[in-house]
Amino acid sequence: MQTNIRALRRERGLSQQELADAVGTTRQTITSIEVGRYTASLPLAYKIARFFGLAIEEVFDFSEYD
Amino acid sequence: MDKYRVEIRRRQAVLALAGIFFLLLITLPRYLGLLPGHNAVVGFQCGLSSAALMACAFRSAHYGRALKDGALLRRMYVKEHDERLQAVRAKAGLPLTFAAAALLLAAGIIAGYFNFTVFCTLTAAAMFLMLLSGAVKAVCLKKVSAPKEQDE
Repeated sequence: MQTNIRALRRERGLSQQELADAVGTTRQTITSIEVGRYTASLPLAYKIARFFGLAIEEVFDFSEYD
Repeated sequence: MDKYRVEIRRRQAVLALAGIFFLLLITLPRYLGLLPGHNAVVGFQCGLSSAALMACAFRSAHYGRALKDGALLRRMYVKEHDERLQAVRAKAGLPLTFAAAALLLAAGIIAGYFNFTVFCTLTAAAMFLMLLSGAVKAVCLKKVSAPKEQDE
C-alpha cells in the first residue's frame, strides 16, 4: 500500500526514528510502511494519521481497493 | 510501562528458577552416577543445560539493566510489541515451535538413557523444527523489511 508518510514527515522535519517514537513502533516498521513493503494495521494507521493531524485516507492510498 | 516492569520482574524470577533447574541437570549426572545408557546422551544433556544456563543468566542480566534504564526498557517494550515483528513471529510459529523443539529435546534426552537411536531421532527432529522455523522467520522478515538505503 502506498502512503504519503515520507513526504509528510519531511515537511515537518522529522526523522523516521522520531516518528516511530511518537507512534510507539520501531524505525524499521516506519521504513517498511513508507516503501510499501508492509501495510500498517488499523490502530497503527490511525496513530500515524492522528500524529499528522490528518484523516487516514489522506495519509494512506486506498485507490487500489476501489 | 509499570505493568511491563512487573512483567519483566516476573520473567527474571522465572529465569532464576530455570537456571537452578539447569544447574541441577548439569550436576545430577555427576553425583547420582551415570544411568545405564550412552555417554553421549549425558554429555549432550550437560552441554545443552550449560548453554541454557548461560542464556538464562545473560537474559536475566539484560532484564536487570533494562529495569534500571528507562530508555532501554521502552526500546525493549516497543520491539516486543511491534506489530510487524509480531506478524513475522506468528508466521514462523514462534513461540510454539520453540516450545515443541524444547519438548522434543527433553523427550530425546530422557529416552536416550534407554535407547540411543530414539535420542538421535528426536534430537534431529528438534533441530529440523528449529531450522525450519528460523528459515521461515528469515524469509518473512526479508519480505516485510525495506532495503537499508531507505533508512533516514
